[in-house]
Amino acid sequence: MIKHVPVLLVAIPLVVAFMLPIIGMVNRTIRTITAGVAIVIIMVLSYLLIQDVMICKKIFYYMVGSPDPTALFEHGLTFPIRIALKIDQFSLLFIIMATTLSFLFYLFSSQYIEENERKNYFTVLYVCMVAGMMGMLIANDLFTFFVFLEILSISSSALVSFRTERKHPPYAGYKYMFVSSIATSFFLLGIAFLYAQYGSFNIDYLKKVMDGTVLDKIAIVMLILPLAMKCGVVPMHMWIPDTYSEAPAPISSMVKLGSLICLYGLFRIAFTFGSHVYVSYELGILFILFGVLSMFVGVTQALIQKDVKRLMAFHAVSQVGYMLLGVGVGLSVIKSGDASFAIYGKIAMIGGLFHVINNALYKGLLFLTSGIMVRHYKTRDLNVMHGLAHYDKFTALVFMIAALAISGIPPLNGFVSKLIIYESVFHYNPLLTLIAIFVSVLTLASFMKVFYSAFLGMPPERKPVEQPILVKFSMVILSIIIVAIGLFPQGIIKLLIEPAVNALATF
Amino acid sequence: MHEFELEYLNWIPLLWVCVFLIIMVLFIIIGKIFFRDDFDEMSEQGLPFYSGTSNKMLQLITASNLYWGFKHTLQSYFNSLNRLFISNLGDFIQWFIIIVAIMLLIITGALM
Amino acid sequence: MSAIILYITFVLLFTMGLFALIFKRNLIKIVIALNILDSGMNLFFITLGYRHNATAPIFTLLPWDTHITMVLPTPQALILTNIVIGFATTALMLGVAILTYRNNKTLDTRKLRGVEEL
Repeated sequence: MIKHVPVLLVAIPLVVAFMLPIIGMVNRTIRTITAGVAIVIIMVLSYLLIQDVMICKKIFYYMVGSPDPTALFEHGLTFPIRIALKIDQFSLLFIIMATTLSFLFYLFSSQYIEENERKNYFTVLYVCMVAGMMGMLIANDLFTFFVFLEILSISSSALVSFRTERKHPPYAGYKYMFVSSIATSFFLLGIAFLYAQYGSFNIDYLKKVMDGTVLDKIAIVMLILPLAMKCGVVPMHMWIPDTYSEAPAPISSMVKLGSLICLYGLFRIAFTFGSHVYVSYELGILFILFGVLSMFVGVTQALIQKDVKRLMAFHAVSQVGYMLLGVGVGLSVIKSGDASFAIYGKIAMIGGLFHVINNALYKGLLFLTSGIMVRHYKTRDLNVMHGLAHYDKFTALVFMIAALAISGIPPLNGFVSKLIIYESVFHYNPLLTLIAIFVSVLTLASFMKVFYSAFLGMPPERKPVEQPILVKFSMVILSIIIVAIGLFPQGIIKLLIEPAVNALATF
Repeated sequence: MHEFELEYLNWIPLLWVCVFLIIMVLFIIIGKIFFRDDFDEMSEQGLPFYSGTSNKMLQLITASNLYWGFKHTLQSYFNSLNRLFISNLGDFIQWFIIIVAIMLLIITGALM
Repeated sequence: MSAIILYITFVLLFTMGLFALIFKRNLIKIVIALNILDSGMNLFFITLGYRHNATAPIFTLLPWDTHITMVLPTPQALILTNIVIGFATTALMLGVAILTYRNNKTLDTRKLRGVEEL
């Protein structure tokens, strides 16, 4: 049973997604529950893998369509051309993050999105998004990765423009699809350059035979930059605030999660191919440059925003910078030949990957609270918001936890990963640490602005409606996880992050 | 000896909770000391004093009033950022192609 | 010889698509430009798998010692997938463009700011 888990992670959401419209015609409650159960099942499946993959260091391979799917190379084939799936420690880390968070966001959206005939499509597209993420995470060949990237883009773009009766969301969805189509076209070009030389798409095979020609280097650029564009690295970041702010609140969180999955692809390709093409140092330096630029530009732009969701979206840009900084430091010293990788490079990578997890948690929670604010005030303008905390103490508390976590205040999870990044990057270059701390301070300042204007001040004109139980439940769970990781970081690092870094940094 | 030097993360969780609680208690004590007993929020003392306007929305310090000095000082920086992105669809791909070109030059070593 | 013509066609299509993407302001024209870009990619992939004087890769259980050359089967399968994906993308973008026109009464990207003016 457990050897079929890789394919089940993709198959269950895909099959359920296309069953949902039929079930929805019969009964809407059953449809909602079915989609939830499908996500729960893949979540439990991903937890079952922890024992095998993280502790026993086993790697799952799966060849879809072959008589013995777990056999690595079939007889008579010099290289595998089947759809290859693979789960190692690095992908399992992201799988656990994606399944858990998409389940919590689903709980939120199941009662946040109002029930009408369009909720059917919402649920279908949501489960398709989960399938796309899972496919990207377990794909071991580049074309499968590309196909699932497209599934993720198409379903997220349709969800971004979900409220089609309003003025701006359709154009935001158009913009998202425009950016992703360009990104995927260039990604396909990169795949084609690799296929033209080696005749295969399989990542493991390519890793074995790559020898660092100029075409390889061009292909790496073509593979990395589209994914960087989809994470919103700074010179290509302006679509992020435009689309995140128009999407419904749980979808903003989901799209953010999807962009972190693109970050997974970015790291995977940079580490797998980078050292074989002898460009890991240059790539590391570029990651650090992009990271610092993203951090600084994102946070300064966020500080002056008046729109609450645009402000949070600019912070999404700035937080990606931290991850790129941490992992970029690791990437730039990994082939240096001296002990610098063992001394600080690995710890920087641990910090970077840990920050991915933490960021997905508190950023998702922030977008969810922004949804509640927007629903109460009927506008996203911070200038007209005042005094929600007089009536809705729960949202105020949850927002405060998330805002303190994103600004790195001690007992919460953002502090831990930021501390690791500061400490390790300091060995590399103290200036980078200074910039990171400065950005952190500005983050706190801009969230103080949101808290001041949305929650403090004179009481609002009307009382807020009581939030439904599942909405509250998902937010409570998210904040409990945030506090728990902040209090017990060592366990998470030992169990999940460190094996992932080891898997990423071995060739 | 651990494989990696993250010993400073081996903190005692209870200590953080204690520090948090102590700070909360300090706040309450300071509040008790410095707040006057005859303060009554329900009476007119609870209302803020505004001079000038009687419009309630104008009496608030709104979000765009915060950090105005920062905004004012860095106005040229923000203007230049806004000039780079006039929210045209062409901008996205234009920047993408520029970055692709720069990265191709660096990675393939054409600059060396 | 024919492969070189095809590669040149790919480069032309790709550049045309990029040019139109950068300089065209109409939402429908942008969709057309993306389609041109996509066709260029498809042509490139098919050309990569092309072998001169070869047959279609439709044999099962072909003995190893035959001298039939076949074109590569993988790019063709992948391009079929890519065509379907391109179709989905085009349909979605056109649908969203119609909705944009209905809500904003324009297709010009200079007039569409895409964000709520606060």
